[in-house]
Amino acid sequence: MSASRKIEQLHSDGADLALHSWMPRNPRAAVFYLHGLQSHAGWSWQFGEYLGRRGVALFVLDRRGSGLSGGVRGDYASLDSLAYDYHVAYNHMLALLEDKQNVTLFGHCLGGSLLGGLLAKGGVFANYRSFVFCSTWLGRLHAVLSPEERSIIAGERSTELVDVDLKAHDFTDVKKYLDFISSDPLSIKCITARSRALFLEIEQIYLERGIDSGAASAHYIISSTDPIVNHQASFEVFNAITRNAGFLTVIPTNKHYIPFTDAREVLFKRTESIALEHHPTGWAHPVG
Amino acid sequence: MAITDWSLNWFDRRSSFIEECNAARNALIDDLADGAATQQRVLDDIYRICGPSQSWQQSGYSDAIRRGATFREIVPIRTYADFEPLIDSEVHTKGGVLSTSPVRRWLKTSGTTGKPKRIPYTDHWMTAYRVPAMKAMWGTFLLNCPELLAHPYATFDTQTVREVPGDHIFGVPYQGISNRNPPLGASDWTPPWYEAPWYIPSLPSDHLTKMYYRLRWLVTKDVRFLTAINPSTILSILDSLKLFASVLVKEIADGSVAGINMVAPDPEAARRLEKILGRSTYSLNDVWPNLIHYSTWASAAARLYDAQMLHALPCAKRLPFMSCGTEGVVTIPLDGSQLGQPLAVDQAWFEFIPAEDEPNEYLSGRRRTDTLLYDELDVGKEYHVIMSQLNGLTRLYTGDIFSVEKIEAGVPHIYFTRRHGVYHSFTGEKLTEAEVVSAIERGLAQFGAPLGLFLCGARWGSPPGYSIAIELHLPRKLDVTEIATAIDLHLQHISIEYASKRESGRLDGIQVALIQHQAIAKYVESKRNPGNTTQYKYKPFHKDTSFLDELVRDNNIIQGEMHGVSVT
Repeated sequence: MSASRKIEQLHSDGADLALHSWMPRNPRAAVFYLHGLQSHAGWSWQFGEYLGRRGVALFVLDRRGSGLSGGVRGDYASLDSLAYDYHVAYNHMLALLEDKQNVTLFGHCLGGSLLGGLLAKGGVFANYRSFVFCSTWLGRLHAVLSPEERSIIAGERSTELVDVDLKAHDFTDVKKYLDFISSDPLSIKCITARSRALFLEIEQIYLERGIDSGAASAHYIISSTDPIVNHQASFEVFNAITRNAGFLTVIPTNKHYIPFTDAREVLFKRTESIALEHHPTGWAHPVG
Repeated sequence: MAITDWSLNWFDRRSSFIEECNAARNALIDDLADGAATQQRVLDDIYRICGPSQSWQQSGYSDAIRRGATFREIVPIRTYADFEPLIDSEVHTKGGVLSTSPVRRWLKTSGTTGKPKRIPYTDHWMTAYRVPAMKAMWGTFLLNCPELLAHPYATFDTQTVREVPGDHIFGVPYQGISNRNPPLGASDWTPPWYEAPWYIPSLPSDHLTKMYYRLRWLVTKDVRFLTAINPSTILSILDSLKLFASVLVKEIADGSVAGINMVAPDPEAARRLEKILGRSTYSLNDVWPNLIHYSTWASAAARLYDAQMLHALPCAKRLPFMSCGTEGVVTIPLDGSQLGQPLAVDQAWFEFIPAEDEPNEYLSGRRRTDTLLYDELDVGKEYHVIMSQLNGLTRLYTGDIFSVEKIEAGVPHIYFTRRHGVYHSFTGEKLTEAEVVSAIERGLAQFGAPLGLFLCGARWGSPPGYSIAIELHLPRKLDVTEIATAIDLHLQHISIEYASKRESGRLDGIQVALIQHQAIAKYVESKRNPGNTTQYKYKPFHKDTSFLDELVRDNNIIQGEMHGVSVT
């Protein structure tokens, strides 16, 4: 049985945002997905269809300035605005789920870093069972930039555009997806300078506070080698912010965007099991 | 896959396939028994599947219908071109714009009417509509020809193919509807021969190579049923047999397939085949004596092949294929009727416009609610078809015109007659295809010749005119000038506009070339798109006369004065 595919318009702080969903009849669980820097919900169709056929709903908000959502393209002005948008979308999802509590938060790449910041900040998401950082370099700006460089970025308030400098062949080596990434008019190719300042601020929040996730389980999913993510540096951050209480899953691919690789079903299946709270032996490795 | 493996798969699938096809056919019969209820069920499904979609929400259709407005009052009649901006959006979202079912593929039309279209193939449309229609049709085939499942090699299926999709739209496959690869889950169309070695996607997808593999595996088997969408495909089997004769004979004798030893040598079968293929003429029934049923379209254009089909399959009876396009199924056969089939009331919500009405009146919204429903049609009349399919293309004006043959239990039995619109107009003559066909038919009848295959093109010149290349199979030699004059006079009689342009010298007379038997079949074969081989349709009407260049080049003109080449 396939899922119902909907695009709903949500009004949030002066902008119309597109919340995409793949909703099975009587869902057993739901995944709330935060997309990466370049992508948007339109990249998640296979994920949504896979989960939907297995009774798991997928919700993806086109972040303000991304995909079909309103707002200035590539501009993320403030943490409060970002947090409010996600809060509105998340609560809308909970209402649709009739307050069923079996929710997994899933952040991909930059979306993972944003998720970390929003979890550390608190007050955005409630009643989730687990959260996943997928292909995310947690603490990236802090790892690659000197304190002086970070200070310069933190002071940026301009809307001057900066190239995101992401290469399609780092994401996938499958031609149909390479073509898609290269020609997708909705993908973000540039962000404003002040957006980088916000990303740095978000990193700082989870690096300083850590994530108090209560009973929710923390998961880190990564390609066996990822041309964009430094595993070691990121995993150290993951351990630190989750107080060594998370689970690691390694997906057998050497590309960054796992849904666009031949290993996609491994990721989908793993996500399904996390959402349904099955942790088969051999998949997840307790960390610590 | 080893031969034994696919045969086991065939035996495993056989009984469930029969059950599914019979169940689908029985469901169709039940639905036809109460057409009104069935049409209402389809409309309710449209509300359920399309109502929450982005386009319906943004247009306010759902709210208006909730407040009591009717579907026809609210939703406009649109052409495919009108839908293109929404399709552009759905390309990004993979569903949710036109309907709330995920888009699994984009269907590519054959492009016979210009640029290939992008038709969303959604989960719901596939599962609840398109695949059940196929199964219902095969239920009819099974009823008439149960021996099509007599053994794993009994059915020669060219109507569907399995090819690795070559094109994608933003990551989603873009392929012809005939291409059933990769399978989209348990509800997809997977007949028992789905894993047969001549059907697998790893084979080259060009038409000739595919035909070689089919013949290599089937030419010595006891084929009982042959299915193709277009009659030209069946004729191309004969051509392929001629082309591959020596290879087939050699490989059957030594047990090789494409040069690789794979099966037991069968010198006796090779000798038998060599004897048949060595004759100056042979039919497919000489190769497959038990092939007593076949299926192709029975449309007006397809019927022009009748004489050739009789030559190719003298002992076989035609079971009509459904009337359908990539955009949707219109009729599904329940019996062997060669003309009308029941309107597929379970496939879409149908509306009709009398053929004599100008569609623009409806497309502009001026007559939005004036359409006729399925139970308001008259026998013998022609109608434009508007259909609302469950992939979200609602109230789609197709441009297809159907005639009503009869009405049974309140459901019209209809058949495709023509595309709407003017075939060509050099100087205001506005000829329709139907007018030209009628003139050719009447002109040939004067000489005792039946209407057969022809190609008609607009000939640019001073003055311009029309050129027609005709295949004739008559023992006596006819004079092309007399035939051309006869057709021209009939066309003037049929179309007063044409007559006035001829009288005033603004149009030159009809030119005719008589061409070799099978010349048009060869021409059609040469036009097949390698990536969409089952989709090329024989088109009698062309906007120019470039087809003549090819006929001249291939020495296919028997008699005529064309392009500076005079053959007498």
